Amino acid sequence: MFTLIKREIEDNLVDFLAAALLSAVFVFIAISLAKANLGHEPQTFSIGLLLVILPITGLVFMGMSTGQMTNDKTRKVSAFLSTLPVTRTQILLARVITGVLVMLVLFLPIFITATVLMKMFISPYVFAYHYLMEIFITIFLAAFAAYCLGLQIGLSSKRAGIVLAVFIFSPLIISLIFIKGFAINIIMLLLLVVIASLVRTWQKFVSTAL
Amino acid sequence: MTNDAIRVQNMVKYFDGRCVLDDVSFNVAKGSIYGLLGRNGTGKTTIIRILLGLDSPTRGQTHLLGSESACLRPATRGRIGYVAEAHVLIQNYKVGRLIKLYKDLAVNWNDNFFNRLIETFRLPMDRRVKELSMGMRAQLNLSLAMGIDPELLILDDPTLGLDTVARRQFLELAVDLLQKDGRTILFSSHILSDVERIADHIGILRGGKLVVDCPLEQLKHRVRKLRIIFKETAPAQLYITEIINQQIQGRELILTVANWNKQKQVLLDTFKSESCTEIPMSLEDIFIECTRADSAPITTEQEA
Repeated sequence: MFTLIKREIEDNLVDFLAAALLSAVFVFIAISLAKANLGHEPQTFSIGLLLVILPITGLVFMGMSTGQMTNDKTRKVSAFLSTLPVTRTQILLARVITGVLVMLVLFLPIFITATVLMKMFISPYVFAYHYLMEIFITIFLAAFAAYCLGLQIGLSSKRAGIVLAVFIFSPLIISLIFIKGFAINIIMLLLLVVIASLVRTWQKFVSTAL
Repeated sequence: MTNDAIRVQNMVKYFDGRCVLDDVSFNVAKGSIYGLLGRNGTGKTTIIRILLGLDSPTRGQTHLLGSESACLRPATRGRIGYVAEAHVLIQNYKVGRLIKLYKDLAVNWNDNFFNRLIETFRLPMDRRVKELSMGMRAQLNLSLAMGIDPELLILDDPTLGLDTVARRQFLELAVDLLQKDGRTILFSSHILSDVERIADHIGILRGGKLVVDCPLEQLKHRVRKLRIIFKETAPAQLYITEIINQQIQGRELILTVANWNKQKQVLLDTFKSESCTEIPMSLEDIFIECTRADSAPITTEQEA
């Protein structure tokens, strides 16, 4: 399993570098916003952050996973790996773990920066760690959901339906976040999307002809 | 406990409503070398892909080393070497990286043997797979498949695209490697001289059906091509069953018959021909006769 993850990481090194670069850009934006003294109100700060991060990361991760699966199909990587002593589930799991690692490279520095900035600029009475945690989990899950949907788009030969569903579903999720805020019900909804999407991808990946 | 390394039972496969494999059944005993023959598009690669679990059959069952193909465990896969048609390896990898990946994932790895092969082939480690010639890719693929010291080796048209010299080199080494240790080999090809050199058992596919499944020697023995000269015009109907092909030219009849036996000989004798001589047939001749649209299936001696 470790060999498969290592292989995926090496194959997607560009994605890791891009995630690190994007993360640096977001950290820079966050610091600039804080320095401009906009961080006095956590709601304004977080919504501003969300406005920038959410759609971009969604598209980035969807593109990344679609690319992973499309390259896999054209280069017949999984067809080759499947003839070796590994299972298709392990191949897919290694791919998903790599995607999660890229997400962590992108989001962890932003999360740490946001925590530090909030502690620095916001009064301890207003600062709520759990609130920041909810934002982080929501953004992470939204990106993960986009990643999983991208896997399906890359894997499927009939992509139009999935792409359409994504374009209907994404604004719905973002609107829900704006209406309800970062709350547990949004996290549960995203978790559901992630699980359903992963199960469907796994089911298709293990049964499709390679 | 079965003595078969490969079992294919009533395999049927449809692609877009078109039947490409029609009730194919055969077994490959442990330690034997099975040559799977057929013209292009007769389903050889499909059978191999289904056997390896890369594709699923519409109906039927396949087993490799006692395990069902669809759910081969990594431990079982580790005992199977595979040389793919056109040598589908990860094209953008450097040779060294591909070898390391293969080695790291292998259950068994015979380093000494593999290094000996690599030295023999002089494969460049720093070149990408896609930059290698077809011959080099074939050599790399065979080396990787042999490196795991496989119990079962599946070769899907391994000499496809190789020039005569590269093909000869590949086969000479393959024959040398394959004949050791009693490995089971499934060898698919349409280059019949290659198969004739290696295989001890033959299966021929025609239009998705397995029309021949018997030992090579038995096949040569059971298919007869006769040149019969009659006193007068050759009869149009001989009442002999399983005629693969017959050509009449005046008094001369060229007859190819499957499953030749004493009864057929007796029946032929009743026509009191002037002369009857046997035309020697190579595997290629047999293959051409057997892949004719109207040829009869060739069964094993027990079935006949």
